[in-house]
Amino acid sequence: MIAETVRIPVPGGRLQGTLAYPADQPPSRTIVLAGPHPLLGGDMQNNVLVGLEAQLVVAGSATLRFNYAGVGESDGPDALSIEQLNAFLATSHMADETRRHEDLAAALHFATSTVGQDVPLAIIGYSFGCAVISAWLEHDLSATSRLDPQAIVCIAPTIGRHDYGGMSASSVPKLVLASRDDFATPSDVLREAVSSWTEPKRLVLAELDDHFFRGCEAWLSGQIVPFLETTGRVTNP
Amino acid sequence: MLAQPVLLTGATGFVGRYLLRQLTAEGARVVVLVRADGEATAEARVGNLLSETGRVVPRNVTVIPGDLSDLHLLPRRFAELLGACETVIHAAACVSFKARPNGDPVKTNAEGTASLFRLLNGGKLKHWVQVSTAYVAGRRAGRVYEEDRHHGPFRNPYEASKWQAEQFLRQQAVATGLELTICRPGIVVGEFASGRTISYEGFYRPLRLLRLLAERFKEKPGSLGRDVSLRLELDPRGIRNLVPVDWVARQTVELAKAAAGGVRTFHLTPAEPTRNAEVVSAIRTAWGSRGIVFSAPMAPERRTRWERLFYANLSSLGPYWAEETEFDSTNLSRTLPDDPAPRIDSAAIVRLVRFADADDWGASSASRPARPTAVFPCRQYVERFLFDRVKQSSLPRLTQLDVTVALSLSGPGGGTWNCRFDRGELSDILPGDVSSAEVIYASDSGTFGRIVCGELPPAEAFFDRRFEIHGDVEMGLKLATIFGHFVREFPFPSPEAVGFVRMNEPQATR
Repeated sequence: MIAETVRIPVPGGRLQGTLAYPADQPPSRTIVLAGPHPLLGGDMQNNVLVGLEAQLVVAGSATLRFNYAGVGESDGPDALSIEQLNAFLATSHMADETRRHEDLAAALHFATSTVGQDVPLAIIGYSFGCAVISAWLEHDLSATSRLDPQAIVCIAPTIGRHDYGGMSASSVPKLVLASRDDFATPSDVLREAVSSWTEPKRLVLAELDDHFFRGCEAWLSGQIVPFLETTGRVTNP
Repeated sequence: MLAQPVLLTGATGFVGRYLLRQLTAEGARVVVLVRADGEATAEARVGNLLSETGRVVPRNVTVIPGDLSDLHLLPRRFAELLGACETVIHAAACVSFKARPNGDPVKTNAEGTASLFRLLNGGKLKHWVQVSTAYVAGRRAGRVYEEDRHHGPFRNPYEASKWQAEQFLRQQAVATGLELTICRPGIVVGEFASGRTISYEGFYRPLRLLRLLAERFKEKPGSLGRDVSLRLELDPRGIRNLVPVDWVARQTVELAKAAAGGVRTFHLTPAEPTRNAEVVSAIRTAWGSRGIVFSAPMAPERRTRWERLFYANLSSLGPYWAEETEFDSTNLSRTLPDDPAPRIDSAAIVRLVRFADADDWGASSASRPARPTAVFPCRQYVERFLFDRVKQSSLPRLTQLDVTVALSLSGPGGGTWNCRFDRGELSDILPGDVSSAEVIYASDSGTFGRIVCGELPPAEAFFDRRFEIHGDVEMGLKLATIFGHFVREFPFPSPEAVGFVRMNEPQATR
């Protein structure tokens, strides 16, 4: 496995990322990982992102994980400023958080242009990252977009805290994974929300580690890899 | 109830020292049979194990200097002390996989067991607890059950000698009515929570080899090199029966207490074994060695020189490397349902290897004298430093911060405190009951010390399960971010400067 530190161009700067891929074979798919909320300890070193990267590359994929603007070494206004913290304490939201889909869009374009436009694309979101995917689907995925994801995986989506309209309307095959004791989204709320999403979709609930999946990273990849292998759509034939 | 006094053999070994700590912690009267070692007397060796600050053996521990192979030389008064024991936990063993010129491992494991039985038989002995190994099953396909009475081809003389000892004891138990409990651990590794270990054998051997090779396969920004991978000829889904040493000791002592008569056998093995993929994932996390990948078995000539080096050095562990056995532990889970094996997942392996790195894989601890146990001055930090510095920090600008947060810190120097924030101002810090706090952070004093000194980011500690959040988890996560902000502004001064005596176990590094 090879992992490269990369800089993803965005308007006004660059985002910090890690592009990982198999050392001895061309990648069979490109997977972009969207991480949790920066003000809830979320960065590209998160255990879920790092754990999945390891397993997915072993399974033959190239992965890109990245820091949102203002996080870690990514350019942008400091995501952890006192002003942001104050706003977050009051609302559980940070300024401009609805625009993180622009970061994801940049990461997707970088990944596909680096790995290859003809390599099937999948997106995995964890926690807030699921809402970022939803926002990207709503804003960026249009008839003119050159990006055509084969599959989307939502890990512990933050239903009720963020807007999932884009996810709901998307016909991209979706796998939703969550723990039954997730503090962020109760199981019944998640079931109800996912039931209203456009097919194809699959929801898997298990007894894991609340919202955090500490020590459950291998379980996640055990669900995701077969799902990706059985979703047949290939981009840009 | 534990029939007392308890005779413990092998107390200076890996599992044995945890057995001794467990027994003494429970207040048992313990007689330990220990060899003198060079200039160190048997009593000094035991004292070192029990207390890191001195060499005083507690009153409830009696040390008898002796060797399993020379039990006939024991002075009569010592033999009488041994004969007065009602329970024996026999953990002494030679763990060499290779036959030695002196007859080991058969000499110690099989003949030594028989010698000890003969010495104790006729005394007050009621219950023999034999610390064996799950690998007495030999090389077998399919699931191995605790009640199985057959074995596959042994991989080495060690497995054969442990099986021989079990068989001898079974025969004696049937003949004499002695209660026999056979504990068969899987692959024993360091403590679950801290990763601490004193043994770098078994599972640690291939890990250490990988450590030595890891630097070569480390992530290099921008690297597009071709010769940067080490291929492990393993199935990522393959299993490893890893169990933490502290859990093994706990289970063994509980089984010694759970007397039920007759002969019982227990696999001290994980219900959900570790996967190879988790081991490699942990290596990547701990060492950044992204070039270590899985591969199908290949002809030796296709291996790179690094791969040949790795496999050549596996040596006697080779037979365990490529294949693992699946052990059933129904007897154990029925008898002790409340304390299942903690799962050795990626995070746990990261703790194991970080401890090993900090301990220089045993090279440092072997020559290091016992040092004082760590005491991070949590009280000094919370009640003085935190209280004073918060006022100088940017936290009072967090006007939305209205919460009572509690700290529950275990271990030396720990304690419990409630911290009340009103509109960002830290109005009160009170020691005592934390049950009414909206958010409770639970950790150990050592981890807390590393966090407040800026050595360990709170988020990383949380994701490594070094602290837990109870109560309002979302608020707890927000506060962890805020606390990380505060620590960056006001890191606690260098621990040594304020009298923080380093833990005897080395601190992990990242």
